[in-house]
Amino acid sequence: MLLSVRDLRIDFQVSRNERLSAVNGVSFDVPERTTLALVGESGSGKSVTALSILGLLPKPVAQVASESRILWNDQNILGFDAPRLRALRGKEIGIIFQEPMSSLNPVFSIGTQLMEGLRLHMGLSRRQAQRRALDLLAEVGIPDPGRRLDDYPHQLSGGQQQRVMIAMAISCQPRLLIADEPTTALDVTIQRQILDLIADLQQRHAMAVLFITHDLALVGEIATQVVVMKQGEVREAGSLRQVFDAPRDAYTRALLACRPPLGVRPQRLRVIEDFMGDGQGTATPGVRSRGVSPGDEIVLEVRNLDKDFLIRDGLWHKRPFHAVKGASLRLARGKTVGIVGESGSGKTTLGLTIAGLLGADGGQILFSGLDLRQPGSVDTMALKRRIQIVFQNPYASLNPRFTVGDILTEPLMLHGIGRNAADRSAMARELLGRVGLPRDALQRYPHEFSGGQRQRIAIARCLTVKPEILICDESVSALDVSVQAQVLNLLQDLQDEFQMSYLFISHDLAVVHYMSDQVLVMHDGVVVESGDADEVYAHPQHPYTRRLLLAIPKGV
Amino acid sequence: MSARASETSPGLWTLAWRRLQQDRVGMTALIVVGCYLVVVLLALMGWVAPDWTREVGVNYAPPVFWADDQDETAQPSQAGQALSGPVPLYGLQDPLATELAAIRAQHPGAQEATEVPRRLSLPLGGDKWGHDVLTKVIKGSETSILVGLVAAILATLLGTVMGAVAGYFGRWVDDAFNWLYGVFTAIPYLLLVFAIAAVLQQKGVVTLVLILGLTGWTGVFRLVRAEYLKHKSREYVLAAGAMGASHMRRMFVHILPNTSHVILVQLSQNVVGFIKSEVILSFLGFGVPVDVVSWGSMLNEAQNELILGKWWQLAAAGVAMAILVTAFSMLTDALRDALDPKLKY
Repeated sequence: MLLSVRDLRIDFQVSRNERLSAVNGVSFDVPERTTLALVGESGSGKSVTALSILGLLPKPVAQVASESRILWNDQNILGFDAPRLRALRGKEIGIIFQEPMSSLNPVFSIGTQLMEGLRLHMGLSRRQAQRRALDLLAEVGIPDPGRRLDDYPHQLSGGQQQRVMIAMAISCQPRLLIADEPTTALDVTIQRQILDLIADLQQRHAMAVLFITHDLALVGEIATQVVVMKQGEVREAGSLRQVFDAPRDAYTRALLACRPPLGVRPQRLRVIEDFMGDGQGTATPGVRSRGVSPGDEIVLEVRNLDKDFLIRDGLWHKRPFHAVKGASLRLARGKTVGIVGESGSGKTTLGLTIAGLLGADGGQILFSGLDLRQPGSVDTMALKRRIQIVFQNPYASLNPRFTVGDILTEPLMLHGIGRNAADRSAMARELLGRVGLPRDALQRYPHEFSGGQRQRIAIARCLTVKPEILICDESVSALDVSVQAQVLNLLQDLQDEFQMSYLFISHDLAVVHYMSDQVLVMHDGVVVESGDADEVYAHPQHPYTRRLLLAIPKGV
Repeated sequence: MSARASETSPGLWTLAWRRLQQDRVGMTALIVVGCYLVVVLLALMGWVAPDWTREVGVNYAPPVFWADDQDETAQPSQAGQALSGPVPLYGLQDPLATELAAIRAQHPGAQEATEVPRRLSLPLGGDKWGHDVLTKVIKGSETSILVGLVAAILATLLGTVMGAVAGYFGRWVDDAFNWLYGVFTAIPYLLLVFAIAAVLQQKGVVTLVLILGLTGWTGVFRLVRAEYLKHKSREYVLAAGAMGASHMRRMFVHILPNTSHVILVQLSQNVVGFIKSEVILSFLGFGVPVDVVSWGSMLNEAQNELILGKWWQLAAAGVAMAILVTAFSMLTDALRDALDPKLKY
C-alpha cells in the first residue's frame, strides 16, 4: 500500500478555550497506480486531511491526535522531522491546489519556479533543469514552451496556470499526486482538459492520485476508488461502481440525487432531508413542463444591448472593452430565461445592466413597454422595486454590520411600504418564514448563518418589494450541492406562487437546464445561440454550444 | 445554528469587545490609557493641579525622595524671612511713607505683600522658578493629550470624508483628491507645518490642533479611499443600490460601518503620532505659547536644567509621555487584532 491513513483525528484550537474537531477518525488507503477521490461538501474535512499528509497544516493551531497514523510505505509521516518531510514533499508527493493564480509566485517566471524543485530534489544543474522544464511544459500541453519559460504567471490564462502547477507537481516524478479541487476555479471546457491531462499523466507516470472534490459528477470521470466524507467522518468508501450504483449510505444517495439531472426535469429536486430523515420526503415525482407559448405576456424585452468598459491605456488614453455586444432577449411573465457562458462571456454584465446597476451604451431595454434607457421616461424608484437581483456570494451580499431585521426592513423603509417600524418588522418576520428561516432570525447578524441560509435572506430581501423580475446572478454557484437543491426548490416555489419572471445566470449547465424555459448561450460578449431550453440542449446549433455541452461531467 | 434562549445576538462590535477582553496586554494598555484620560478630565475640571504657575517651592527644589537632610516641613526661605518682618530703617525717614499711606487708604482691601513660605522639596521636584513639576506634568499631560486627541479626531474626520468621496465616486473626483493628497505628501512634513504656522500667525493650542489636523489627514485618506474602492463593488452595496438606496446612504450607512475598524485603528495611531508631533513642535518652540505647559515645553526647559544637574523635570515629562505612548501603541495593536473582521466573515 502506497499510503494508508489510519484513524486520523485533527482538532483546531480556535481560541484559548475553544477547540473544533475538523477530522474525526478518518481511515483510507491509496494503493499504487490508482485514483482515489475524496468527496465531501464544505466543512467535511477533506482538504485538511490532504494537507495533513504533507505536514502543511499550521502547527500550533492544528493538533493531530497522537494515535493517528499516516503511513507512507509503512513509515509514519506524522513522526517525520522537517528535513525528511521536505524530502517527501515535491519529490515523492506532488500537490496542486484550487487557485492556480495564488499558488504560483507572481514575481518569478514560471521557468524559475519549475526549476527550483528540480534542482532542489533531483540535484540537476541549471542547464539540465532548464531542459527538463521545457520537456515538462510540453508534456502538460503548454504551446511553444521555449518562449513560455520566461513568462510570468499573470501572462498565462487560468487553465495554463493550472497546467504549470501540474508540471511543477509532477516534475520530480512523484509516486502520489494530491489534487485539491484542481478544477473548481476553472471553466467547464478548461476543466475537461485538465481532467484529461491528469488522467493521462497518471497512466503515463504510473502515479497514484488523491483527487479531492465536492463534485460527484467529476469523480465518476476520473476515480476508481471513492471515499465520501461528511463533517470529518467517512460516510462511505468503496470502488466507483459500488458507490455510484449501490450506495449504502443515505448521505451518498442524497448527494447523488441532489444534482439536477440532465435528462428529465422533476417538479422539485430531491434534497438531503429526503434521505437523511425518517424517510418522509417532500419530493413529488411529477415532471415540470417547460417552454414558452406565443401567447405569454412579455414583461421584459432587451434589444441589441451594448455595454463597454473603458480601460486605461497609458497615462491619458482610454480604450473601450466591449463586454456585451448586441444582446437581445424576451422574458415572459412567470417564466425563466437562463443565460449560460464561461467567465468573461459578459453574462453578469448583461444582468447588472438590465438591473440598472450599470449604464448601457447602446440598444433598448423595454420593461412593460417603457424604454428604461430613456432618461426621465420612468420613475427609477418605482422601477427599482420591480427588478431585483440575487447575487452569487451570500457572504458578500449581506451587510455584515446589519442585523437580518435591518437588511429586510431597509427596502421597505426606502420605498415607504408599511405604516411604521413595527409594521415593517412584522412583514419581515413573515417573509423569513416564507423562505424557510426561523422567525427569531430577525435580531441576528449574517455571520451566524450558513451559506444557504444567507442566500435565503438575500432572496427574502428581494421579495420585500414584490418584484416582477428577479435576476439570479450565479445565485447557487457558491453553495454546496445539497444546499443548492434546496435553494433551487425555493426559487421554483416562489415563481409558482408570485408569478415572477427569472433571469437565471449561471456557468452551471445542468442547473440552468433545470431552471430555464428558454436559454441564451453567451461567448465573448455575444449571444451565440438562444431558444427553447430543451431544444438548445438536445440539438445545439452553434459549435461553441456543442463544445460546452460535451464538457459537462456526466458522472458514470 | 444553535437554538438559543435569548432573542438578541452579539453584533460584530460585541464580538470585537469580547476578543479585546481576551487580550491581556490590550486590556492593560486600555486601563493605563483610561487612567490618563481620567487625570486629564480631572485637570480640565480644575479638580487636580488647578494652577501650575504658583511658585510653591524653592528654585530647583529637589524631589522628595532625592532631598537628603532637609526636613519636609514648609519653611520660609532666607530672603523671605528677612523681608517678612518690618524693614529696619537705621534712623532714615522713608521718603515714600506718606504716598504709601494714601494708597493704602484708597484700597482698604489691599494686603501687605507677603512671601508665601516655600517648600524645600516637592513630590517630583521643582523647576527654575519653583513651579511644582508634578502639577506641571499633569497640566502638561492635559495639553498634550487634548491636542493629540482633538487633532487626531479632526484629521480622521477630514481623511474619512475625503477618502469616502474619492473612493466611492472615483473618476475625476478621485483624481482631484489624489492630486491634493500628492501636494500634501510631497512637501516635507515639518516645513509644511512651519508654513501653516506662519500663515495662521498666532501661537496657541487651537492653532496647534489646526496645524496637526490639516496636515495629518493624508494617512487616513489613503486607507479609507482604498477601503471604499474595495467595498463599493461588493455585492451588499450593489444590492442596496438595486433596492434604491441613495449614494449618501450607501456611502455612510452601508459602507462606513464596514470600514470603521480601519478608521478606528488609524485614529488610535494618529493620537500617538500627534502627541509626539506636539512634543516635537513645542520643543522646537513652534508649539504651545509660554503661558501653557505641555510635555514638549517641559522638555525644552529641561535642556538648560540638565546642564545644572537638575534632571527631574526631564524625567517626569519623559516617563509620563513614554508610558502613554507605549500603552496607546499597544492598545492600537490590540484593537487591530480585535476588530479584524476577517476572523468572522
